[in-house]
Amino acid sequence: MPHPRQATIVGVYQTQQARSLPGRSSQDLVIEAVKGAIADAGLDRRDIDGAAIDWPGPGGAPRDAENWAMYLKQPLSWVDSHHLDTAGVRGVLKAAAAVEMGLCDTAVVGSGRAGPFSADGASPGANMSMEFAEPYGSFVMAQFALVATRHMHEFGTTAEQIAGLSATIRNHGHVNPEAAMFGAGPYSAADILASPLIASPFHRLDCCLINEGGCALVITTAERARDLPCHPVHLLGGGMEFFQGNYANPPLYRDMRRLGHGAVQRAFGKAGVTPRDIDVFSLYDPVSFEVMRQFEMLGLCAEGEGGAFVGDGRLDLGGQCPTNLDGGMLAGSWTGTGQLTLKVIEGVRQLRRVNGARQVAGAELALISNAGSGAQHVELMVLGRA
Amino acid sequence: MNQAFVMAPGVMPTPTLPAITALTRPYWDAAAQGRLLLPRCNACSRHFFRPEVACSHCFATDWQWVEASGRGTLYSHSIVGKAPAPGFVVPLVLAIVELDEGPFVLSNLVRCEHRDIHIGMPLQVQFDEVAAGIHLPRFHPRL
Repeated sequence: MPHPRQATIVGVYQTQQARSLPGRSSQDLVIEAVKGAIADAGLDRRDIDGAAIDWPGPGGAPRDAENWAMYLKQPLSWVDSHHLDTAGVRGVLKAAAAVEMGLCDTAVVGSGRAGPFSADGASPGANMSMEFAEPYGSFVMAQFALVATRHMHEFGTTAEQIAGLSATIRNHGHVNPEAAMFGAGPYSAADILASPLIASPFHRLDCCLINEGGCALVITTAERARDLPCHPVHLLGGGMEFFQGNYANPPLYRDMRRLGHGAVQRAFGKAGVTPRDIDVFSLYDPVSFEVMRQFEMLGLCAEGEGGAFVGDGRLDLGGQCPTNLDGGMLAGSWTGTGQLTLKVIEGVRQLRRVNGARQVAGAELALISNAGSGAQHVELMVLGRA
Repeated sequence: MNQAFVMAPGVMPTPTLPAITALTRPYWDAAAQGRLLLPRCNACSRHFFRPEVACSHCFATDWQWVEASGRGTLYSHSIVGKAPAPGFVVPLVLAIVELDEGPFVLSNLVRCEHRDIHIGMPLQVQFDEVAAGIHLPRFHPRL
């Protein structure tokens, strides 16, 4: 029996995710997502007394979650506004802590984005006033590449292994009607390697998308969840790890080889299970390489063996470690912060056992991860079917 | 600057100029004179980078700028094929250099054929004037 206040995910919603959603705004997408998640939970908007929801505007102080009080319960009991706190594992863990602590009873986490990512066409991470990084042409994908190059040097990991993993994840998205890249494949490793070079060892098809969409989810107590229509999903454990400020300092594999180990210990220690018990993985994949590094982080293979581990169908539906069956961020969606949340939503849907053709039979436990080595932080959580 | 800046032939352009602060001004002033400076802590005697108000090793706020050798080795690299922002000329080589003094820095590897790049290769700093008065430390192979 869970503790009466144990944090439980009871509502999820994602809007259409696509390269472009003509006529949609960020605010309109996040409103659709929040309404959808509350409806999925079988709740009314006045039931929501905690908000970690992005406020893209117009109107109100940009980003401030306090703006949501006019639509939800007035007054709200708890808010969180930083852009990485309104999404994904970090957002859900903080909302869960607030719910379990009794700062609020039912919280929504969510965000949405439409429109150009940057005014001048700069890639993510290329325009953040990082004095000792950006003049050299640094950006997010290149920072992950600096970790991967060193991994290849130390362990013999190959570009073909990375491309093979990219093909695996993209082929999951190819057959997911909700993925932004639905029907765009199928891909072979050779197709990935033939796409334009972004930052060696990564080609365009090794890298995540940039697209539009919104998503949100609802967290409440186990006690409240019992009265709601959807099969509840409990948050069994979580862990976070922040090595240093991201993208300003060079990401050294020397340091990143340990990144996430503490978060793994914390999350699984609280959950009382091990990585071998996980039925379905929803791992952060800004580049496919980061997925193989995370299997090493989890101890499911030895350091340096991730390249071989992720092959041979192991990550497919029916494989030993079904991973990113929605197509992940390579083929599913990346919207700036929404992809952090979509990782959680995919895990919740697998544990509700409502995921249709990509459902992992009998799924009881899901692992969700956000961020990674290039970003120099990791957030994890273990979800369990009630 | 009153006169139009003309970049020297062969210098790789950098459209994204460093966002210089009062804290980092000495670093860029020295670079303009062809000298690479590093912060060194007066409490623990170690070099650190980036420049910060306090030492990244021991948290002491008592540190000074000291001149570095400009020598290092290649720790990791990536050949960037897509311009990160308008104005970059690709391919360019983003590099992590392990300086002989200890700190690691992001930079560009220049004057090196891609096929000759290898981790651990000895490197030497050079200073490229990428805008009027802005000299960017980059690294080339050391013979």
